[in-house]
Amino acid sequence: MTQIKSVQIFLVGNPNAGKTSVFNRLTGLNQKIGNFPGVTVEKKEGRVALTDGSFCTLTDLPGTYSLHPKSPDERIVLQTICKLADKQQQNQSLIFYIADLLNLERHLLLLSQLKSLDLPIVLGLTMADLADDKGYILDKDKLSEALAMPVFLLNARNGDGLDAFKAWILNTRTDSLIKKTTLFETEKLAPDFILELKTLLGTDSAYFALLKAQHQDYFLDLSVEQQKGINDLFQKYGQTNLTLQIQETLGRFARLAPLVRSCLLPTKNAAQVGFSGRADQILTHKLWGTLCFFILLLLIFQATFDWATYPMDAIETAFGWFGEQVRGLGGESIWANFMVDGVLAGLAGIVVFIPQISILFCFIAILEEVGYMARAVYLSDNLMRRFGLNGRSIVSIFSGMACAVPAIMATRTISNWRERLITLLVTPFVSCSARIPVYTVLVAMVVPAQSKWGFFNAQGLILLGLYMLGIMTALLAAYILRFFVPVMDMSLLTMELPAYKPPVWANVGIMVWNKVKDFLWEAGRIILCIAVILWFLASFGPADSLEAAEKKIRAEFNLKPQTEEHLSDMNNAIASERLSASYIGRVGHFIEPAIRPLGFDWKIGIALLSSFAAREVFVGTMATIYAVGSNDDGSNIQTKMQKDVHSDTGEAVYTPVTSFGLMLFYAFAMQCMSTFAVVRRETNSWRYPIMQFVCMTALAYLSSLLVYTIWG
Amino acid sequence: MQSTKRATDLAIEKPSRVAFLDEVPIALKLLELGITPSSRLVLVRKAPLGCPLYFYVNEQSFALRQAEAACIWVTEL
Repeated sequence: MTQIKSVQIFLVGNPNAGKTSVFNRLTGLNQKIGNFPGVTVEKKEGRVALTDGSFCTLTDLPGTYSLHPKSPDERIVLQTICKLADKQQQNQSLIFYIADLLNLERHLLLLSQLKSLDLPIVLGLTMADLADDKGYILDKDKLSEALAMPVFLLNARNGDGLDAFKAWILNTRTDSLIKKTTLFETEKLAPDFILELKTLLGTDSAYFALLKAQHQDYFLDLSVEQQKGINDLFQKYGQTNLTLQIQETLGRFARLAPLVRSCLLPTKNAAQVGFSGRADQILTHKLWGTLCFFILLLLIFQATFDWATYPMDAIETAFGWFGEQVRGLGGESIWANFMVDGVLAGLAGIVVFIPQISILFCFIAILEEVGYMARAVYLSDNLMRRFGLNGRSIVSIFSGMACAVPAIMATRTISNWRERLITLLVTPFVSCSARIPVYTVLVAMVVPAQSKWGFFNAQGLILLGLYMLGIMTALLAAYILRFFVPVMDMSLLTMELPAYKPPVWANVGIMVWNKVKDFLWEAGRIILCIAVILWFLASFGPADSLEAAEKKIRAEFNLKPQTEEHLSDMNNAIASERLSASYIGRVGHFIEPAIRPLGFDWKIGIALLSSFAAREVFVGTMATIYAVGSNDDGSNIQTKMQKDVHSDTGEAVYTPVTSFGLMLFYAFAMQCMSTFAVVRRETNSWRYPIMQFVCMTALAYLSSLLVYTIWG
Repeated sequence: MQSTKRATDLAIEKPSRVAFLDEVPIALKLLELGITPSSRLVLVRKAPLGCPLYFYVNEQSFALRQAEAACIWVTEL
């Protein structure tokens, strides 16, 4: 028979059982996060190094409370488990079931369901260290005997018990693990009904037959006759899914309760209100809890934007230096241009966001690890629900301040499709970190850096206002979408508030690392591609139009004295004129009539167009358009922009009104290919991202138009 | 003999025992979370604007919406 070390191990357990910690402990960074085929349910796979130098594969299945699924995540667990229960695959796999010793009875429900499918299972009990403090004594051998499976005591915090598990894998065979026990007699639920089901579906296992009958939509191998037969049997015996499932659950608990009582002995009365209870008296208090939540938000916000500036500056300097080296090697050749202005500029545009994303996700990971996130959901559920969202949407809206891509992926925890859809449609309104460089340039056109409104810095207040505007718009859009997205299934909150615990730092690190990888891959490759395409469009034009433009400028400047100052002016003028003559310049001139009502000219047109790839491209495009030399910084772009006038009327282009209109445009427009791609993937349809794109862009256009017409 | 009432009608901090659950879809989810008949249940507090509700059941904390908790029937202790 097969040795366990050559089979696949599946981690199964309830949410909050400590599965993630066990997975991270066993695999380290040897893990790969993907999707289950055809669905957007996260699949985590990793390799476990064993003591003899060999490896075995470990798959982390989503946490679930039972085999009766209520969300896509839980459906995957049911499907995966039932595939294992099919006899052919049984020798190829082993289930490592993780349960929390402090809540043993509830955590054993799913285990008892798995046992009814005669699967090879090993039990790992977490929180064993805390059980001692709480005054529980576990009779491990008795539990192991009652459940007919090996039991390991684990401490995911320091890895205790996992070495014993790994050593055990090396010396055990799967067939020795399938021991029949009767934790629950499925047949007794409805003997004749189940007997007929078994015959119909051609299986010996009563529970397997029952699961397939109850969740027939999820089993594609059922024939049309079998489906009809199942429905007939339900009718014939007057059975309903709900009654059967409730009776099954009650029946299982009736068996588990005495079992747990006999194996886990309390030596003292468990404290009524522990640390978590006391902490929650403040943290979930109507007034103090809400206040703490806002202070925490402000703190994280401040930290993310303040701390991130140092590594961001360093990254920009590093890319600048690297570009100079390439210039030094390649001079003004086309390849050097391609590398510096295309590839390196694109890469810098991606890498520069890593500090903010890592810091924000570090906070989010810590809050999740500690157990606070569930409290944030509790506090915000009511408000969110009024806008057609779910308390869990707060995590996405929050993450959206770093980047919409991982934020949209975080909506997977919302089991109700309608609430999830609305959340992922409105998340891009939240001001992400890519809007900051754009706002920074534009806000300077509205008010000078030193001006104060009362005690506050005027620029800071405008920025804060733009952030508030983003969140308000997201909520308002959700409120409107409520009327268009049909109600499909029950909206649920029902949530466990896990006990507070200190964070496992390895888990925090691994989560941040995975999010950054997500961003680099999902957003990064698109930003890079677009940057290269933009470079091409800006560097070439039809026939020899660029050369003609250059000649024209040179002729103008040749009449003037050849001072160094004039030479640099000439180079700038050449760059600007070439851009105007390039493909992208022509497109800019072409769309100018459409954006003129907003007070924008063709140069802004180019920036807007290129920003549809990724909004932060704005600043780079502006730098190219206003042809500032490589050693100039942002303030010089601003001075140049402030001096710019409309060629026909001679009025300034960047009046406070147009700048403000442009800020609104950037606040509302969905200018991010990666967001588009990720919405397409998460909704599995083109309809939603296209609708989102059209609506957001229309809103952006209209609000800029409004500002320009009223104040302009 | 004490009469049963809905968990949502409990006074704050008043200890009670779960008697039964209405046979509605949410009841299955509640059972799976361990909110079973004869569990000890306390309504600890309400979130801002009165919903969701914070419950202790068997020394564990849960957040349930008003409509979700309404299917739990309890007897006061």
